[in-house]
Amino acid sequence: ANWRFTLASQGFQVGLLDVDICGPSVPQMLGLSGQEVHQSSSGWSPVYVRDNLGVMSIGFMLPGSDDAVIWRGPRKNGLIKQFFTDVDWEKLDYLIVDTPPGTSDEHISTVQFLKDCDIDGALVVTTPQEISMADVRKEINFCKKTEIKVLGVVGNMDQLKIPFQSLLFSNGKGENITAQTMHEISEKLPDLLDAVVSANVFNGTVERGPEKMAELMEVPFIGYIPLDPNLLKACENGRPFVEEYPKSAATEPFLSIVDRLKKAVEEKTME
Amino acid sequence: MNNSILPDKPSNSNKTCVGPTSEKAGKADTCKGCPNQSACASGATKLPDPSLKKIRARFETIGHTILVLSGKGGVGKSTVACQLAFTLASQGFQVGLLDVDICGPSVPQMLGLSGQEVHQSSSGWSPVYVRDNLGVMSIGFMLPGSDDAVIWRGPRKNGLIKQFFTDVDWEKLDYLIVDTPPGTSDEHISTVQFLKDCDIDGALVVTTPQEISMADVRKEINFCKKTEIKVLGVVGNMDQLKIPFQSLLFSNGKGENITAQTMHEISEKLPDLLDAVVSANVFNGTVERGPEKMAELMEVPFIGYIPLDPNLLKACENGRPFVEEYPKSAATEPFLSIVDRLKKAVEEKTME
Repeated sequence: ANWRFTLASQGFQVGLLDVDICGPSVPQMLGLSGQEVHQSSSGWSPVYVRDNLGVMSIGFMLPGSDDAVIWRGPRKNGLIKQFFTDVDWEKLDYLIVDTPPGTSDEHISTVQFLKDCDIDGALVVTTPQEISMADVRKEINFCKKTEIKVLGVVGNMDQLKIPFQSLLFSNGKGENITAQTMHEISEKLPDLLDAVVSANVFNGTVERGPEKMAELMEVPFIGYIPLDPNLLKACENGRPFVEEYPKSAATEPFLSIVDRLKKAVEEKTME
Repeated sequence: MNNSILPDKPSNSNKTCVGPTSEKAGKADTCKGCPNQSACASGATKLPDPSLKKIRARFETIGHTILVLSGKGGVGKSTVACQLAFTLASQGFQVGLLDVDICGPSVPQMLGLSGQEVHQSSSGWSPVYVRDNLGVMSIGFMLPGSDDAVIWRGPRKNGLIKQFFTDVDWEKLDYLIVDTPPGTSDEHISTVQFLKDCDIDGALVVTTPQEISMADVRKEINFCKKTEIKVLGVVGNMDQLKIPFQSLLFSNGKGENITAQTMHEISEKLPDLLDAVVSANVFNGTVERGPEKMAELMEVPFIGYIPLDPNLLKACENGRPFVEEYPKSAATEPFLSIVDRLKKAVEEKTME
């Protein structure tokens, strides 16, 4: 969801459509929990986070936000179709469509309904784990079969990058000894307190796996996003990450990815 | 079972269709004009599916069936399901693992079984055996190329899941673990329908500390309540990252790797630091101990946290049994404790 915030903060008119019918996380990630959708004569109105960022999700239409949406294919299909026929987006520079994971009804429906609408392409998100890359190869094959251009692959949850001072220390008995440890360090090795540390969390067996995989599948790789607790916090709270954490570990990488995505879209338009 | 949650209304039925299995099927006022009216009225649609009998027969030799669910993808559900199967097997039980994630089957790889094939015998499909006492069935074994996308709509997936339940010959099992895709969709509905006469012990629900994934998991728990599946326990996965201090990497202001120099300095001035274990909050939600509190709120048991442990992830990447290969890793004790509590919960249910 943060792509949309970033494009909106760059001045574009942005729409965000969440077709994840069974697990719609978009409303919460944009701080819109509890909002409702309004109908007008021109169709359904998106819910506006800002003047230039409108959102549509089934999350807005569920009575209680904890209700499970237990629908089989045809009913989901009908709702996705309505999203495409009835939502009045007005004029948009970008429409971002968030999908559920995998390749299922929602994806098939989306591609079918939009086949005459010139989808620019797809951004494919993966993590370094081999497991998730196996699934993403399938996703890329789906794009190839359905003739959707892969605008870029993103390697998310790359190394964790945090300030040394946010580490917690425990002793052999599992007791928290962070305060004492930091004190000792400030006396004997004060420079350490200003360090930034990285840790491999989700590493796969292949180094730079997502990048190599994209190369193998002949699709563009457009960047890594490190694991950054501030990015997660921003999503929890429905806040625009880049605006609120301009100097966090994931900020530059994220902006660079948005940039490359915009270029890829322009190149396609000129084809 | 509350049948209104699992409607099978044909797509060409009238808007206010009562459902083909309703007592009024074909006879209600709302049936007028529906192309299926005479079929429903004849009673044919209310006959029990003969497959259910076959499935029930298969399950006579299966001791405990546990579904592994999560509200959202990426919370480590398949990791937990696979390592649960490995751990129970290493404790001497006869275990089966069924992967009904038709579109994203990660189970074969997580058990080191990539490229294996399923064999058919006169008694049905044989699971692929990791060990004598751990058999696995997944659509992953049946796809021609492992990178092929499985792009099936509901009914075809349904048919395959049904076959998994009618045709796989598990023989005698103490535990059958069923790994599902995330969310609440066709695969879940089908699984619950097909196993309704087979006495599912319950579900293990996996979540992470993020509020987002917990919102999804509340939905998952509500699904269990509606379909009368007992929640045996909620697991808070990807809790704090716990790693040895020595696995940290240090970089300077220019982004250059200065780990070697830094560790050297530390060994001279603060050598004890090198033996420390550090924790870091990665996926914290806004609520401390969120998964535990959420389980309390939903009145279901909370059975433990699993810290983010790179060794657990490595084990899964390589299809290895985590607890056996990393007996002293950060996630080992927590994981064993969770398996223990799960076994107790299953015993308690059996005695109900």
